[in-house]
Amino acid sequence: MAEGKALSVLLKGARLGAAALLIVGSLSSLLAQWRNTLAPGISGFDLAHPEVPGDDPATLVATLEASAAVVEPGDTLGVLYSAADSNQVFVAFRLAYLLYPKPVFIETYAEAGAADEFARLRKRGATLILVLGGSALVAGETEALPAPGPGASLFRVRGYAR
Amino acid sequence: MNQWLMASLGLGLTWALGFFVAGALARRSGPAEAAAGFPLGALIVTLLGMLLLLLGLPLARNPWLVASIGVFGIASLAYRRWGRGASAGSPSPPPRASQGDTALLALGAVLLLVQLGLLAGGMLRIPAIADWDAWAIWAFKAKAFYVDRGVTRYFAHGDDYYFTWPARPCLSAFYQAFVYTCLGREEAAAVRLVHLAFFVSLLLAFFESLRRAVAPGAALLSTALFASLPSVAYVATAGLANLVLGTYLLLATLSLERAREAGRFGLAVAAGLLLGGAALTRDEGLVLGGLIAVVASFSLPGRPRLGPAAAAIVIAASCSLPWLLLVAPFELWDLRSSWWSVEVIARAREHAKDAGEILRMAAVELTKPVEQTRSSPFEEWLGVAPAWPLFGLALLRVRSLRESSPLAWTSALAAVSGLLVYIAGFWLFPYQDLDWLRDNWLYVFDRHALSVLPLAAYATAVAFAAGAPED
Repeated sequence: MAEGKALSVLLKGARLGAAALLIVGSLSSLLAQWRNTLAPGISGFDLAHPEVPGDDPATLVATLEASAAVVEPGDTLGVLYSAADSNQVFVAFRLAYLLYPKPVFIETYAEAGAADEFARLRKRGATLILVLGGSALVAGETEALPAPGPGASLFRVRGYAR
Repeated sequence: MNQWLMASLGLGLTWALGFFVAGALARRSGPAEAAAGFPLGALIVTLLGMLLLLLGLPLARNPWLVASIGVFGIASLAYRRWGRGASAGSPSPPPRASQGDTALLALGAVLLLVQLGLLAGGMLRIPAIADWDAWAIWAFKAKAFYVDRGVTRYFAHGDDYYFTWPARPCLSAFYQAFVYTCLGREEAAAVRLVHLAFFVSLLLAFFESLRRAVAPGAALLSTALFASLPSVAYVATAGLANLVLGTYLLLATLSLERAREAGRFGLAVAAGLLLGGAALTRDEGLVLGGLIAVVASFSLPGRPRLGPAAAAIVIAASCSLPWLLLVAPFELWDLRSSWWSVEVIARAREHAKDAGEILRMAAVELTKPVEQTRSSPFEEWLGVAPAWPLFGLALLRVRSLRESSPLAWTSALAAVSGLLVYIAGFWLFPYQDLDWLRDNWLYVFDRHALSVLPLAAYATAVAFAAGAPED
């Protein structure tokens, strides 16, 4: 009986505390929504490109736009990226999304193996190859195009040049 | 303008179609049917799209709309015949508002309206799909289905699009493609509008379920509090499927409970369709849905009523069939090979030593504040997201409500079972080491758990808002 009474008191206290906690939390959440809706700059993300991660969204956007602009009808883009760098992962996946239905072959590379993956992309029929990082590891039978962004290199496979 | 009118008509048709089906099955038309309208309609439109593809027709506007309007016509006839009959009613009338309750009603209404207004305002201000998974998985699939008028090219290049998990069911993406076809273009704002419609359905279902157990003011205030949980508010319009799955699971649980109370087979069929929606929304939907059907059968004292649960599971599994038939011809890389092998048993034994640590890590992930920019200053200050700890506290109380609010008891059991299913999944996963498991999979457990959060939040609200034991 005493146990039941104690549990009841505990629950009443918990109810009051929880209600107060939730109402404060709710108002705080509304404040966060208000802040993000009316003054999104405060939260730090780029209003024009809220999907772009990292500290330097403008550079990633520039890389995406410059890479997409080079792709011509009939091109098949291959992208080599390192899975260890989330900005590179973003660019690779985002290009596949933006360029769909144009096929985009994407391959990850390890530090020492970019040349193998590069060759594999060529073998699969990629006519343009974007290498994110690791550009020094690839060579031969390709024409280097202007770099679409810092740390990114773009190659047109010879024989496909327009 | 005409394009948005077409998209609005598509959304309206979806809701009306689902409402008529829900009404005909429940033999009544009330808030519960209104809440189920959009999710049920989205399921039916999605199934129709899949059937068109299986018949060799494209996912173009005309065939898809004509098929949907045809089913709408049949559903409206069924609704006229059965949907406006006597109320299925609950054995005990819902609690009435008291004087003090009116203040809660007003506070709840203001909070809810402000929250919905802010969500809509946020969408208008920044319509882009900002969340990584939302564009890289769900919006990607929707774009592919819309651009290709089908699934073949996307599946055929599944290896290149491995990051979108091609073989996984994706009701919300498929339905987004329907809205794109109505609109005539791919549009981020339309994606967010679809998810807002699902969210409004969820809130209405949440309120309607609560209204059966507590006074209207407490029900509305609890609904407003649920809507403003940072994790919920962020995902509500982000374009992810977690809360869509949560909507189907809550509605199905409510429907199963009403089937038990009213003894109406039609409500079990409605529950089956809603569980089918869950099965088509995410991989784990069928497992969680089946679990809920079983829990709903055994949660209350007395002889378990297996018939409605069995019917619901069969219907839910049938809803998955068209997707499986579409996927089957393609060899798609998937996680399933990790599960359909005897290695799972070996892994279970090998990982037994990690079980305690996995539980601890899961608890940490569940209670962390949302990392995205929309986290609440309160949670950041507290360092803890209080929703799940409060559910833990509510479990102390909820068993005593088995008689007066069986839905709360069933929901609590279903939420706990659902969490355990996810944790078992982590435990049986072929991970390299625990750090790898945490950094690659467990870190999004709070997001996965959103599928059972509506059930947990419902049980929590009833536990705290219903009268104390001696009242």
